[in-house]
Amino acid sequence: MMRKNKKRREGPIRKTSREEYVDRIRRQTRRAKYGLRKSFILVIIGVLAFSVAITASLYKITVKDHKKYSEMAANTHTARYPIYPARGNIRSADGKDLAISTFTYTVGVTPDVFGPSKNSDYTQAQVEEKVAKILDIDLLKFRQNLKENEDAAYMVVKKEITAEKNDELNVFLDEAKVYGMRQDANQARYYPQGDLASTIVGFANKRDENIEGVIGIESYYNSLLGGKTGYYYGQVDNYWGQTLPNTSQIYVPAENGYDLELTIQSDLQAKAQELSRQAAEVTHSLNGAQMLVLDAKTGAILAMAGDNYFDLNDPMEAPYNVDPKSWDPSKKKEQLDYLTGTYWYGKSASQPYEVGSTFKPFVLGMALDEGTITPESIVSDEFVYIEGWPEAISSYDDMSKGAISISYAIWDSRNPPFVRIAQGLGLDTFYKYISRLGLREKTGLDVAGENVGLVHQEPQEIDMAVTAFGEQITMTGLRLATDYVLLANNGAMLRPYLVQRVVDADGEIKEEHQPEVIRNVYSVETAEKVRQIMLGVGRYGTGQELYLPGLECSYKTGTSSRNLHGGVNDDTQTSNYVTLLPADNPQYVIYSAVHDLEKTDGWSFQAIHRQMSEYIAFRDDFPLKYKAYDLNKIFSVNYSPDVLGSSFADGQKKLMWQGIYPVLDDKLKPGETIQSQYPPAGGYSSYDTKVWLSNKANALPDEWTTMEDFTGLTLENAKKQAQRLGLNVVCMGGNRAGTVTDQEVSYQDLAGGSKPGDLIRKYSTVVLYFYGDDNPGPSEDDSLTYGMNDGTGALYGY
Amino acid sequence: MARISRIDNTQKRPQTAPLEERVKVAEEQDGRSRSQFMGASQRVDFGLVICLTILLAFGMVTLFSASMSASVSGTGQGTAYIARQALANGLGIGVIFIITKFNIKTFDRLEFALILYVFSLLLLGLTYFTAPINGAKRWLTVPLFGQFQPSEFAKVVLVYTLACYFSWLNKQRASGRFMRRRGFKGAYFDTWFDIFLPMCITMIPAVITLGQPHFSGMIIIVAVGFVCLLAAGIPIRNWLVAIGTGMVLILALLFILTVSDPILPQGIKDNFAHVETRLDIFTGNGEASEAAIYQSRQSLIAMGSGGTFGVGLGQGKQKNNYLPEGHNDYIFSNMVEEIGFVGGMSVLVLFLIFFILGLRVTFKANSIYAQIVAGGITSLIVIQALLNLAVNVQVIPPTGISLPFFSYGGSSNLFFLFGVGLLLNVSKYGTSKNLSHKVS
Repeated sequence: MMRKNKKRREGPIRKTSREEYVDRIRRQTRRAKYGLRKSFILVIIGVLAFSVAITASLYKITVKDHKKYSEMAANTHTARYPIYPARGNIRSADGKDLAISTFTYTVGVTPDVFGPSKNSDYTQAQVEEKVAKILDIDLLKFRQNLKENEDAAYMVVKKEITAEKNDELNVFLDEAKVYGMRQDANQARYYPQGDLASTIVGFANKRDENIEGVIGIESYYNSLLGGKTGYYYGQVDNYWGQTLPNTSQIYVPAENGYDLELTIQSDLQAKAQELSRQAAEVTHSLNGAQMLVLDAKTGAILAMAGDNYFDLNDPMEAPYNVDPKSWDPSKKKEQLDYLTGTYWYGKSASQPYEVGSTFKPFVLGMALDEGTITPESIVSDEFVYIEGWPEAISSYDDMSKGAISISYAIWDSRNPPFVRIAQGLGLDTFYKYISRLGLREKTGLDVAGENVGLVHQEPQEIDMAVTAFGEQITMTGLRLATDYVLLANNGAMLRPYLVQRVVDADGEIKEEHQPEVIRNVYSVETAEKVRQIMLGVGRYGTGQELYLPGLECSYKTGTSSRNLHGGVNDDTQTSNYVTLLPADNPQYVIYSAVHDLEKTDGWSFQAIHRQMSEYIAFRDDFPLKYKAYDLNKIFSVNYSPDVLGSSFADGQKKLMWQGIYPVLDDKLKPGETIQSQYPPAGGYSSYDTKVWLSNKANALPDEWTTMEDFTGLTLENAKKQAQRLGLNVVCMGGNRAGTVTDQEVSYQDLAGGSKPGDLIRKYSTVVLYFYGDDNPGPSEDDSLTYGMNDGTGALYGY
Repeated sequence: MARISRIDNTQKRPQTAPLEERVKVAEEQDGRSRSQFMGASQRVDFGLVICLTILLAFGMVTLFSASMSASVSGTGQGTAYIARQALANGLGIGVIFIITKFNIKTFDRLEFALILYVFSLLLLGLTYFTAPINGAKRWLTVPLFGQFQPSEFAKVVLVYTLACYFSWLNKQRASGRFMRRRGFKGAYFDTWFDIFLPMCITMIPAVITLGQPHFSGMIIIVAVGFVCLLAAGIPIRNWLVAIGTGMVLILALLFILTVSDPILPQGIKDNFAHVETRLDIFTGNGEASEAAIYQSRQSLIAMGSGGTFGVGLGQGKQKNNYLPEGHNDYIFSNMVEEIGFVGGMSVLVLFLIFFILGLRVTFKANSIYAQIVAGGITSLIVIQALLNLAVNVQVIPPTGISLPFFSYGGSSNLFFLFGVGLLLNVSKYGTSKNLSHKVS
């Protein structure tokens, strides 16, 4: 400093003495200090102003708006994790699982965190090895993935491990105190029976981790099956959503879904499906076939099937009648539409059609109920002419039978008598019954997509006339079957239903279906009389291939036609059949239909329909009582026709015309030629013989049973034993109400065995001999025992 | 004559006894050495030390709480951030100890200041060659030291440089150069040295900072520069001249900008887009990015949910990655969540106490250097703190300003502590009333 000052003093600008310098410094400093005090007021004011503003704002945020921001904070920090409930199972009435929930687990890790805790006895390497071993994954690859995904918050290790594997993993994770591994449960729906009751059960899809029914029971009862999603509310961090320490958690447990026990009996359902498909394939029906079995006492649906059924575990697979090679619904919209609009749905509830003569018993019921006719009435079968209708109304054979009994009018399905009966009732009464029969409403079945048929809104006489024999009015198969239930059930209409019981996970019954009478349509007497009259359809009328010897049932057939191809005349026919089994106290209503046949071979379909009633009669062990007519039918022996070389459909039809039921080898499909038949052509056959067919030459069925002794058995017991063993029997001899005296296997070399105890091929024919004369049984008495005499004996033979 | 009489007056004061005499008396009294006695006539301001200690301790506790979850997620350990901050603070305290050992005159050298000033400009300039982070080039990476913002350094250096400049100017004037003159022309001449030149010194780092772009950094640099000018106690006459000149310049600039707007390169306009964005968030003009709105909203949620007394220290939830920069620019929000309005106010009050204590040193300063250093550093810290608080409570638009002694950031705290060291140095050596002229 001194040096500088000296220099400055010597400088050219000004000479400044030390005193002067010090003085100036001091003055300048004092002045600066003075200036500072004045100007810093600005700074102080600024700081104070800012402080006041900050204080005010802070006060507003923290104190005044505290509530608002606290709520916002809670919303921000609280995460809601859904806990998905286990979906309830669906079971058939006989306890078969139709739909079940399974759990698989996805295992994932946070690579950075994954490993043993500090107090674990395992090393990182040991944990990795063991986990890889339990999960059955490649250790090296696992380690490489861990390294590559080091910074990832989550990495999937393995998907879809089973619950058992998961338990095993959990045991190890606990034991080794492993951090950073997580297993997420994935619920999946599995249908153990595959295609059984597929259009009824429907299927469910996964949506947002939860399983939701798409169609069928799965959809209709979705809320019951689905249960209630539980929630876990916790305050979490914003890194990985981990729960924050010292925060409260709320746990709302999930409520598992209820199990449903259906009314469906799996054996009947399987049979109905098989028969429907066979009917559709044999008859070349354009719109498939369907079969329904209802409990006549409750309205429960025991079987409801169409030819359309599919594997519920793979609902997108090709329909049975479509070439899988051309099938790709993910790309072809019309195919997807076919699945979602038609194929996945049961025909019975959704497709109304003209039922034809199967409607006549209801018209008969109306008249009996109103007293306009009696069972003894004689009616005219002369053609009916109605104004506004171009042609005479006649029957299927375009003939007039003159004056006939009312029973015969039903048996032979005459049309004119029913037109006259309807005319006798009058429009108002007729349509009152139409409404009471529920033709304008849904049956109320617990299934989605039920439709109502068409009924004339402002009917004219001609409308009534054609409706009287089931034309120009449509209804679903379900509606028709439900109405037959009311005939079976003394005139009281029951609501059909599919779910018998709702059961919780502990097996406790939550809801049980009680039969629900919708209304009484006919009197008890009327219903009974109609059933009695229907008895003769099987014996004398249009339903002779439906007939079950030994068990008196009410039958009805119906055929309607329509114009599908746009020609002058109707070109396709729909046939449907009904059996009330047994007639006096019906337990079952069996209904079936084949839709839109291009040829009139609905008759052959009767043998198919009969398979169901026969199966039920034997399954339920109904006591069989043979009349002379029955014995005649059973003891009349035929010879199997030769169908080798016939086409798939023609061969089967040829057999069915004789009442023989064709059983198909797995590989025999439409388009194939029949190469083998067993028992062979020319062998003995009976009205209920089953013939096995194959598309392979010289093939025999590879199904075996153990031959039993038939001798000493009555006809009833022998029939039941044969049914149980899967053998055909042909009965011979005169002692028809006696016992079997001898037995003989036809084509023993093919059958593989003959003596009791031998293994014998199924479908083999056993000839049973009823020799002797101690108990020949009735030979003259052809009368029907139930309720009434069959009236005019002249009608025998129809 | 008057001047001489003033000198005479002061010479009459007892403490203006010959130095040798005072030294002798002192040595007799407490055995202190001459050198010690020359400088250390006082101790550092005890109040400031206490206040600083509380701020640092408070800051560490708060940062520990606010940074723990980010630290765990980033490094797997909860103490990574706090450890770095502790190291920086430790270094800073060491620097304070060293600075307060030296006589104030040691630092009052324009050469030193110029070296540091140029160095700080170089560092600022270097940021232009780095890769942008969040669209701005504000950081430099130094080996072993990590990232730091040269603008933080530049702020402290600016105060120091201006202090040395005015001290130098004072001495020059005392020795007869650049002396104040009368009349308008004289005023204009004075203003050049008193205002325009230091303004240039201020504006160079400010403009470089603005170009990074770092709007808030620029604002603070300009504000601190202005406060330093105020601390220099420049006569009002010069201020008026400066304001008049400034207004003319601004009008001219506005005119030029209006005329040249269509031909202004797009790049320059883009550079300041983020300033507009931040203003828009604040005014609710809707153009703000979702991230920015999110941040503002989360800071409100944090503070608002804290209420009067907070949810409890360490119990805050917004720090778990809900509030971005929760351990940094928005540490105050996190703090208020945990310790509430009362805690937030205590921070404000602490800074106000620091301001008052700093002002006390400033007003007691016995040289221009001392008063500028004291006023400048005090203001720098307090202004930055208040701006940060104001951003947090949304009194002003959001801008990247850290909270001194609280926010995570080793380098900035180190520089602040360096500044506080200078302030304490002033409190120790620069407040003895006659020392400056005595020693000269």
